[in-house]
Amino acid sequence: MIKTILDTAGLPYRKTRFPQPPAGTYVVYMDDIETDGPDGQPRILAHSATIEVYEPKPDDKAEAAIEAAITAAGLQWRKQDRYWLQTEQRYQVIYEFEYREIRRT
Amino acid sequence: MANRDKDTITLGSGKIYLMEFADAMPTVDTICVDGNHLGWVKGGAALEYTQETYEEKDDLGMVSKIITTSEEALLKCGLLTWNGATLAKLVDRGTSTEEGGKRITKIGGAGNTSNANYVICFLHEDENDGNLWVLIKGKNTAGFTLTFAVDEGTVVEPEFKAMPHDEDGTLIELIEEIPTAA
Repeated sequence: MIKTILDTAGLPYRKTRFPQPPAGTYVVYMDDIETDGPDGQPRILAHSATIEVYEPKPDDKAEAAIEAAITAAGLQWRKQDRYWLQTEQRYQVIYEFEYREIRRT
Repeated sequence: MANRDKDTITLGSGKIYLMEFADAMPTVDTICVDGNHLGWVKGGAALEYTQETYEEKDDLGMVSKIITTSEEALLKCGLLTWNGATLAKLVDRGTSTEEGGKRITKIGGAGNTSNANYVICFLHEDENDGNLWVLIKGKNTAGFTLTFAVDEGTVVEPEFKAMPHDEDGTLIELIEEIPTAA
């Protein structure tokens, strides 16, 4: 689901870290998972996704693309406003959303 | 090895089975088969036995006698997996039919009364200390509520009220695996 959203947004992305990030805007995402389901069967995976957008300069177009992609997936989302990272010399915008994945036995 | 002695800790959930029957109560081996599996349980199950008593005693409290005047047993659980056929078994007035790739379940209405007798068995499996079966004859008396939410699966929560199922009026049979005599 997260990869589909990021593919739709069309931004370069990696999971957890971007070893050699591009000069332009890029994304790092995290996928926390908690299981649920019938007793003794972790058949529902509750994903808590975090998408971190790193922008060398304010990139409204990239943010709009991500928001459109999450919305197109039918998910509600939270956004932490743009924040300047002095050490990285980049802006950071964070999106968070949850979704559930059901596995059949 | 089965060893349900006084030191046994009972921990964990189990599987619930429901079977329609007409005459004698079936055995657990007959009931606890895949075809009778009602659905997968979430949040465990609870067996409640309650009784009302009447106490008679003298004015000084020197002698007394307590007798049971009524009793009730309920087996409750949450079913995370279910379908229309499951729901039809949880109500007295319900039918479920399948045709042309669709399952049609009708709930409510005197014309849909089944008058079926059900035996319900909750099986708590324990490879180390031995299995435990809770067996009742009963019916769901709680109806059901279907809640459709984006963040939680729909859980059906039946409450099976036990009915007497033998000449002694037994409400609950609790069957445990114990060591066989040498």
